[in-house]
Amino acid sequence: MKRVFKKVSLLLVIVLILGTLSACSGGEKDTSANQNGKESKEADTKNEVTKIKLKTVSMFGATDPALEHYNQMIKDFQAKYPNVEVVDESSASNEEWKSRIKADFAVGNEPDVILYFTDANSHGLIESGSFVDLNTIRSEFPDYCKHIYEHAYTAAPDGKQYAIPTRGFYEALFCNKDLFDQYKLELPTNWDKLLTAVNTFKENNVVPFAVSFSDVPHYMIEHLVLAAGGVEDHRVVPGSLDQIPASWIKGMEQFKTLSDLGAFPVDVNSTTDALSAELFYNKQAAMRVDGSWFMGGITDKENVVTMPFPSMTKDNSKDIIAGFTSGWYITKKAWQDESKRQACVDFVEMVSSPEFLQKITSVAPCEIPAPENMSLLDQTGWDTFVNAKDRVDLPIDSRITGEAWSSWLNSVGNMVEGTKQPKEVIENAITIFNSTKE
Amino acid sequence: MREENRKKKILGSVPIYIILLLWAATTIYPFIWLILNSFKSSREILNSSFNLPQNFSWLNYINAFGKQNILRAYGNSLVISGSTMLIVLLIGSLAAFAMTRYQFKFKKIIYFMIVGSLMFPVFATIIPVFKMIVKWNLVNQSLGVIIPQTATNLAFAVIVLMGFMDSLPYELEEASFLEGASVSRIYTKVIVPLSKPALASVAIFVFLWSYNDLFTQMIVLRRRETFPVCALLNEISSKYGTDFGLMTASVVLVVVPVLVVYILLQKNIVKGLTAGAVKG
Amino acid sequence: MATAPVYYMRIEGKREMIYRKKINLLWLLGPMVFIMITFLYYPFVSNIWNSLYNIVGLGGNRGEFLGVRNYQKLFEDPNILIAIKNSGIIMLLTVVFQVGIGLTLAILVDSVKRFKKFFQTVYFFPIVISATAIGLMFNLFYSYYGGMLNQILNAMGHNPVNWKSDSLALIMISVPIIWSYAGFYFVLLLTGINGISEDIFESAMLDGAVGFKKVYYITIPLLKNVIRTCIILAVTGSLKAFDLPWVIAPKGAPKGLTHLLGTYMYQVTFIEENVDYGSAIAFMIVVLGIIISQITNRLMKQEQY
Repeated sequence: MKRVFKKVSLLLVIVLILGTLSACSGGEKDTSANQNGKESKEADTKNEVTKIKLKTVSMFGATDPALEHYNQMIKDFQAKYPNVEVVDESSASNEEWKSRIKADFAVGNEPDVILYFTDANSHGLIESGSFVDLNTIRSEFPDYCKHIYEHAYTAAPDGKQYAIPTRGFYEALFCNKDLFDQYKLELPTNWDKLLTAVNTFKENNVVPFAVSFSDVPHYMIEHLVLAAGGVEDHRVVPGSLDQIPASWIKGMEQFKTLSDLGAFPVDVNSTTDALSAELFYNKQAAMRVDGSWFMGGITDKENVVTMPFPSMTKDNSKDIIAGFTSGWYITKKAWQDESKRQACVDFVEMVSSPEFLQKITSVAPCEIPAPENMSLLDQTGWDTFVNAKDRVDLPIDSRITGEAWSSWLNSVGNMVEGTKQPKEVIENAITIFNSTKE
Repeated sequence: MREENRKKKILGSVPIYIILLLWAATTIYPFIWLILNSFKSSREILNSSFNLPQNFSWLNYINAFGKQNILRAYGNSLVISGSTMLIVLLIGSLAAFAMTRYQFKFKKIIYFMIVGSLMFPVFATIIPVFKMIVKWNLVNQSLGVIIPQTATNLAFAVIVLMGFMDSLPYELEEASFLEGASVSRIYTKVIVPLSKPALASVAIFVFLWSYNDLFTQMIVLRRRETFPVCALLNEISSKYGTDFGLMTASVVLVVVPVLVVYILLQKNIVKGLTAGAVKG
Repeated sequence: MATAPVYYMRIEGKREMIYRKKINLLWLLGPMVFIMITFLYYPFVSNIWNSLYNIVGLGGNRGEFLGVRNYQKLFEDPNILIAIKNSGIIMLLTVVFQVGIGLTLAILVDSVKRFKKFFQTVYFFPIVISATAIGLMFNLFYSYYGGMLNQILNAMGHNPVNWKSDSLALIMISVPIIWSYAGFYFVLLLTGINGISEDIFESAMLDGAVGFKKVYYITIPLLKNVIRTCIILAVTGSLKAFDLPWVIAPKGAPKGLTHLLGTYMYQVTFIEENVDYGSAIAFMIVVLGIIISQITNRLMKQEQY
């Protein structure tokens, strides 16, 4: 017994000493200093020149094909600017990642340049003055990222622009074209064709829409509003109850109408998004509303097409939900360090250059050449985005957020069943929205 | 007569074995399910999860190992969770010993303090703790994870150890006392040896929870070299929705070392330590 | 039979004598108190303070002063009522079944001669497998289109059932919760049984206490402390239960009907980014937990604390 206890306590002491030692060795101001930090320190002393250390953070995760290109770009960058050393911390952007970024800013451990969201996720950080706005940057570097389309920028709540968008997305209606052909149906370019398709599929035991309202009702809300009111009404941010467009209510009423026609899976209020997507992949369902990233999972690329969600008021609508909800920020902390300004600007210029964007995305905020040899799916996707031109709008939840949006999302199940009235749901959400915003 | 009794006894234990085996079937099944599914693609899992894989593909494991240094991640996990476990055991057993043996003024308050902290969600405490970690230069350091994890697991350890120590017989402590042993000696010579099974059970769970605590790990550690296994594998399986194939393979890779730790520690959860152990 | 009470009796006088020097508390309790205050209570109290201000997003700045508005909201929010009700049901089920099954298994495993190590090992499996994986497995059981349960029903010629419909969902969520952590209480209770001196069992046998009698009169009374510990852990555990229910029924699916306090707190804090209100819920959970564990202690006649 004595031996066991001694062993345990000895081990404990060793661990503690090791821990303290490693803690002390990181006595440098830069907290990210570990092995790499030490190596670079040695390199520094050899060179005698003080390298600028640029701390960058991106959301390219380990299995993101873009990561490889990104890492290569960092190498190219360091080759081009030998006086800059890039210390990059990239990671997939999940909940933990977001919490980590917020924690970093909260305690002053933020990076110099960061690829982060431009939607409501960023508002808190912008309000606390964490980033430099583009006007400030351009007053010193007038040509900073001038090649980016003006409409690709997202304005923060204070009206200023902060981030340089790079990788975008769009949302669209995905159709299993082979199922439409099989039942001699036309693709739903207007509302009547959509209703016909829903009825026909329902009669033939094909689920019309593969969707989960308990997990991801977001796309359906946005597209029903879009169907009833087009991008113009979708863009409205109601400051009071009487500013709510009538089309919003009309759109939300379609939840019950479509549900009564049997447009949704039986377990639509309790299944998960992944399982509902399987219905579409397996041709058990005919249609699905999803984002451009959904393409990656589709193997049958010659029988699936994307198109804008049909409008209730016109034929061949081109209106889509699309945009750029992330972008590259320069933090105020980096900007205040004048020696770093140039390096920050150079880095963002390179990471937003058409040459780099072409490698990582087909939805770019500037002109890039169309990829060659596209499949039917890729071609229809490219067309959907390009044809929309400026008839695009960001999702509603890029503006109406948090509790308000959540109350709306969580009421979809009740609207489907008719236990809550659309008017009451939207009014409730807008009331919360206007009471919580500053 | 004797023979008959023996038969009766054996027959009597048959229903017990049946019950135990039935429950065992429910707990073994998911493990087998997990292993089989780790050889499938994400799509195959969602569509025919309960069948044998169409062909045993190592792709998920190859992806999981990929370019990452998973062995180093195991090492990091062991250092972090092992240290957390040892520190919690030491501090927790001292506290439980005091709480079950001493009468003092603020005992009730301290008891409430322990029970209350059982329910603290990590998000509610992490920001101030992270501030300290940054101030002490512990970002990207194992110690930066060990400290908060020790704090969050301490309450559990103390509560469980109190339950066990309350039931320990007093005779041995008295005997030691009469022989002139000090309190620290009673703790090391009587309490710790007698509590060995309880310490082992607590150790298992503290290790497990520290090992699986992704949130703290992700907040404090940012460089892939410092990642423990869960953080490393979480990243590859969570991008692009969820790749269920990579996820199941990751879970298998995560589970195996915990089972090894469990089987090692489980040896201590045995009978007959009570009296004999202390005399030796 | 008389052995148990005698064994259990404590001679207060002697105990007072051994543990009379309160100065020892400094090194016995000091480290724990220090760690808890620095890394749990100081942050948590500042978090309660946060719940009086408007805060958007984790680590966000304190906005407008709200006072106790978040605490008033606790009483008005219909989701809180649902969550408290559901957490109460889950708590009852976990205490009765999780601890109950754990106790039964521990007693049975203790009573058999062979395969003890085998059972001890396999009963631990569900605890180590992550909630994401267990949740996925159960979702594939429950799925309406081609889920395992509906395949079985189909094979028997029945119509498929929507297993996570409004009326069934909570039960379907509680099954994996109870099942996966029964092994946790099994390990703790088995440890407790192993701690009971063999002498007691032997003398009980001589008195004719075997089988159920032995369990009822000897094992359970002697395990009382450990059982109480398990109940307190089950109570506090079900109040903060989060990961498995979140995977099986995200956002309280269907229609928020299956929200638990833990899942609702997560939704409010991380999805709605309403950190101040989330903190208020966290505070309420802690208060509820302390009250209920105190009731447990009273019911199980633990006057010491």
